[in-house]
Amino acid sequence: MSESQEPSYPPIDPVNFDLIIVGTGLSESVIAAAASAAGKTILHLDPNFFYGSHFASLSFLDLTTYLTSPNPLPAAVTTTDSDDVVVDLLHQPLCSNVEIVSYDESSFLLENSRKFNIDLGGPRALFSADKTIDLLLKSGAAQYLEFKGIDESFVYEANGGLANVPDSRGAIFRDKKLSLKEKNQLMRFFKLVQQHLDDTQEEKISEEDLEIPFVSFLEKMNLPPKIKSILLYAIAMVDYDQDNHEISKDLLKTKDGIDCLAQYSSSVGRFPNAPGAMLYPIYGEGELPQAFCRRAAVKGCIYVVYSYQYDRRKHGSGIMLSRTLACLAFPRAFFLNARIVAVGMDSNFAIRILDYTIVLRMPVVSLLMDKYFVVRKDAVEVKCKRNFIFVIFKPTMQVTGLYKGVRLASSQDLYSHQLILDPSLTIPSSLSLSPRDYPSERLQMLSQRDIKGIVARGICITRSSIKPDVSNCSVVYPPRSLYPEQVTSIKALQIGSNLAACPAGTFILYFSTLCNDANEGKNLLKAAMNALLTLPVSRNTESISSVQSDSEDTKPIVLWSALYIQKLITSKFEFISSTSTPDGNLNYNDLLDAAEKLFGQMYPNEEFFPKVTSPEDPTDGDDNGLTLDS
Amino acid sequence: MHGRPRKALKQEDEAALSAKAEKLRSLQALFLANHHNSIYSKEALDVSAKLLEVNPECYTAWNYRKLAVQHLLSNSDSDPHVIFQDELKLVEIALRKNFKSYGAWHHRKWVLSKGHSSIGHEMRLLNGFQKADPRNFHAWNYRRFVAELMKRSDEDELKYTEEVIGANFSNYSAWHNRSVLLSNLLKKKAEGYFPKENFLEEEFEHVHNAIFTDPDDQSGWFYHLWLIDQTVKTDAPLLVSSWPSHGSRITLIGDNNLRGCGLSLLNGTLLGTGTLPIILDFNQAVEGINSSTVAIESELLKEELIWKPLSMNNSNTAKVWVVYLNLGNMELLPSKAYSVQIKVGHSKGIAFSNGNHYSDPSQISFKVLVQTASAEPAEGQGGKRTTWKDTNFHKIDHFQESDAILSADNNPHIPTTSNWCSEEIAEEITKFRDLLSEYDCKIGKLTLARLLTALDLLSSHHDGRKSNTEEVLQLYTDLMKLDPTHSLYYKDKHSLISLKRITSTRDSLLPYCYHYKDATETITGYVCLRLQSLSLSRMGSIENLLWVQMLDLSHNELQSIEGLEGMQLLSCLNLSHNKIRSFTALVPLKLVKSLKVLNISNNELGSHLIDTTRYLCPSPVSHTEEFAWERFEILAGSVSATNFWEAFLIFGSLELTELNITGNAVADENFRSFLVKVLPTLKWLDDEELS
Repeated sequence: MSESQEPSYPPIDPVNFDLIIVGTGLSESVIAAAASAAGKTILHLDPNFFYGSHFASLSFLDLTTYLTSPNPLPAAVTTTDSDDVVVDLLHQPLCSNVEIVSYDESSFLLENSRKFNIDLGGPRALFSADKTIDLLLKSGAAQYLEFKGIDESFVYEANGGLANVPDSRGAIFRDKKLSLKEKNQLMRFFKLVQQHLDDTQEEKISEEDLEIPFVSFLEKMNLPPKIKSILLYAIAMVDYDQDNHEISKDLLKTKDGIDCLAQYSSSVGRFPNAPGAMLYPIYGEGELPQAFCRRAAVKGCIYVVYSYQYDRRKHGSGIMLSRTLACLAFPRAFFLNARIVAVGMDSNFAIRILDYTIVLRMPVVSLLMDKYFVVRKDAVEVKCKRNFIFVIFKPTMQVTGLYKGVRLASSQDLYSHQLILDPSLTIPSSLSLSPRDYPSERLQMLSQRDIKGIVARGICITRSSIKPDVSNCSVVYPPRSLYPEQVTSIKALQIGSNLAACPAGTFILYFSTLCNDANEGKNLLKAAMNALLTLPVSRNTESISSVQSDSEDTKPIVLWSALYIQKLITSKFEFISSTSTPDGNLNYNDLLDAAEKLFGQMYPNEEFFPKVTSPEDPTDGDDNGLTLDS
Repeated sequence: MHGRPRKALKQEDEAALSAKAEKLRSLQALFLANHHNSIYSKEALDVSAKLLEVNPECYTAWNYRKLAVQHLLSNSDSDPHVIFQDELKLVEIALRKNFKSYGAWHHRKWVLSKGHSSIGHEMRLLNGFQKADPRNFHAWNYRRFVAELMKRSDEDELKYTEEVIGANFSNYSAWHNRSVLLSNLLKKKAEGYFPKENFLEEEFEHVHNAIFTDPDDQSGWFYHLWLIDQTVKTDAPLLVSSWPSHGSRITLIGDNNLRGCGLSLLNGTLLGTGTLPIILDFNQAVEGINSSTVAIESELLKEELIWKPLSMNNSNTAKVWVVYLNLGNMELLPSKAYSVQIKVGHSKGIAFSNGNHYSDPSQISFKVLVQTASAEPAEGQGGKRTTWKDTNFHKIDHFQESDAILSADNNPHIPTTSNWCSEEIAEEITKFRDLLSEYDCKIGKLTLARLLTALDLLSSHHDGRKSNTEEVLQLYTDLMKLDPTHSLYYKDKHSLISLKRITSTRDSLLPYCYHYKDATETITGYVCLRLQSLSLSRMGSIENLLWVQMLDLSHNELQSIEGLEGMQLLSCLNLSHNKIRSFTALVPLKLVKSLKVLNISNNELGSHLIDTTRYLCPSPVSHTEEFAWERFEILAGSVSATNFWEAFLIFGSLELTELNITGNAVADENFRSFLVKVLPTLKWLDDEELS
């Protein structure tokens, strides 16, 4: 947000593409990489000045600015082009009800702003054995990433504080809180699942049992409530209270529960350097969409890069890198005013730095639609316009308009067969244009998004860890662990400085929970924060804090906190497609499934990241393809 | 390394292997030539090094290196550090080739023990190896060696085992090392580790986590067994029983002249020599029983006594010790009570093999009375034959006061155990009952049975406790069905417990005691203990059976009679209809000098080609026993009886008057005639009177 003067936009050439993607969130980036791998011509644009959209990792200052003053689109450029209907896009901020409290009196955070890489869509991590890892390896994006294991997983107990999640044989053995009987029961259940999944074993869980709710199956296996809760919420990561059938929105089925358990247990110890089940990318989750974008760029996707604004102070003076190297990273990017600085001589590192330095910002302001488009009954009309051929099968006669292209902030018009918009872009539902000219029905469909609920997110910055000697850890608060009315589980993730997400001596904690309304969600997160952290009530009431210090001296003190609400919008395939917002899960599996599905709908004949064997792509699907920092 | 399936060899691998073999052969030939000619030049050493790098298993080459090192050291201008450093490097390369090479590890130990190398590097090397394979016992073994050399504290090593176990508790080696370290600490009486209560409780807790988490993993169970043993076992030897017992009155019956040779012991024929045995039975094998550690005071004592260990391997340790009081040439007055006092352990010297000393001085005193026989002495016994027909046995309604019946309840030697032990065991029992209610497993049942047995043992002398014998027997019966592979083991345990129950009190013994009466005999006969048809596969509770002179063990499943050597008064033994497979199984009888009548009919002697108990038995080739080859050859004579040496070994030293061996594969005519020669005292063989 530091650029001051508006840049001048040079024209982009060519102007016709197979696909234009607006937004560099994870789903958009994955589709960009997949479609370019399938040989499509793509233009990838982003209205923001950073990569990742809602999956970005931002500096402290950028984060506060982003949360407090959402970035409106530049004013639509009105032109007199009469061929197409021009529909101006609306930007709807995806973060609402933002509540930021800072207890930072020494302006430590502002001074160290650039040392933070704070996730917008946190808490989020990857399971070592989940499909995200497979996709990273298959797509080749893994080569741009470095991971580190989350050291410990905890479950919050109503009266016992944090307890380790007994998620493996070794963890059950070491566990201090389970009784011997519980250890036995839990391990036997793990074995049952293993046996069920083992193809060489005859003994299987019966078909009927696989269809009943997982919670009923656990009850049938005579597992005590404590074990049930660990299995459901800390390992299978279920959101809603499974015991309360009335409130429960979705009861997990046994077969899905078994799959979750299988994924979790095969994650534990998959990589020798990561003892737990989860991984986190160094420099934050924003690295993931960037890695896919880089993959897309290598395959020919065009990125518009117009400006360089780089002041990572910690790197000091850099070395000037030639435009050639930059072009190598983004072979077909438009380098405008490009002065690329990289530090260090390591080429991988240099390229990673490139990701940071190439700054995007090319907002799309309007959609271009066909003005007249007549389809006769039972007829196939082929219409040629601007070298594009549209083949339309429509049974009824209708006056309608079709998507043609987009108009950029630079007032240039670009055309494509298909368009993907990130979920923050929408079309005004009430249109002032004359309905005769306007294909209103279609656009109304686009303006109505499927909202599947809301998720409350929280971020805290602290000076100490919630568990001494543990830097990176995950925490699950099962339903009813904080108070009886808590119907959803809360997920939390603490990231320390060794993941390059924050300066040394600080920790970032992410919280999220599904909820019905903003208040409920925020109250839940506040309770979750209070359970593990000390929120300074007021700066002047020293007497109170000194009283508290006796009992709560072990709790980390919050330096800064933020709460915000996000709507859960699912992806949609229409003549204009849109991607989904970050969901309430800890991992990316559902989001990637949705992206893969959208890709399949757009390109039914194309494979989603076909297996490549060229020497250029050294990813062989082996575990070694993943870089893990020890 | 563990858990790596072997892959089938491919065609090209085979070719590579044969090439490797060719190379190895030429190297080996070269090396052996050097070795024979004692060439220790640099080139020669390189050859051996190359050979060892390819094949670390070549032990000769390691020994050659040792000779070479000694040779090089003898040069005055040599630097021992360099020489040893080279050896260490070579061993390291060899170990990287084969981590499990005994020769390589031994060579390293040898080099280090010379003391010219730094030890610091060894720990680093070990940590690397142990990270790669945490279970490898070679590395653990070497670790103990290095730790001792470095004087690394046992506590530090204990911590290391804890880390390794924490990472993966399926690690026998780590648990084992723990038991070694804790034993050391206990022995040293290190602070916090003595008395054993201090650490045992924590260790139990530790291993419970492993057992309960995964009852199917055996490593934890083994450690648990060690812990139970530590809890139950007494540190010092204990005298558990003696014959004659404390306070008893022994009545000897002699003929009118009291010449001694006809001296009988309470209706039974004692040794024809007129000796009175004194038997001491300890809880474990002990050494150091002699006239200074065990003092006998009596006017019957006329000469220095020599205590004899009843051991089958000629060692000087035994559980049961015997001494014979010679009364043969003594003028004994009828109706006089001669008192005998035995003081055990008043001076130091009795010890377990582990060095723990007997620390509970005790005293046994008894009286010996002499009676004139009311009937003719058993002069014509040769004419009678002992028959084991039921009609010859008569139930005893109640014991006479004079009956020298011994049982656990009149054993005065009460082992002292702390309350802590029985409480700990009781707690364990509760835990494992819980586990079994949750998860039914064989090893859990076995452990429960062992725990219950241990509890009974610990509390056997505390009144009012309910015995768990019934439950233990039921557990072993279940286990025999559940786990047929190990049913023999369970059967043995079952037998021992049954015997313990039978011999626990005089009342429990009563139903098994009979008077033996020949049809022709009028006087009251022996008290015979009849333990037939009890499915016994082993003998036990000998400490309660020292008094037995006539024992019927027929119709059981005995494969071994180990322990029977303690029954020094035994004169008639019926082992018919058992499963004795070889003569070596009868070796304990060699020590029972009083044995006259033996029935081993209907066993499996000679039916099995392979004798699995052979190793237990001294053999002529093992030189543990004087074997009278000459006599054997004379007896065997022309008969191709070289296979009979085992029988000769057993029977050659016995003076049996009756033997029944029918119903065994071995008992053909040849063998019978051989037996007649071996046993000149024999009057009856297989129900036939010998002329």
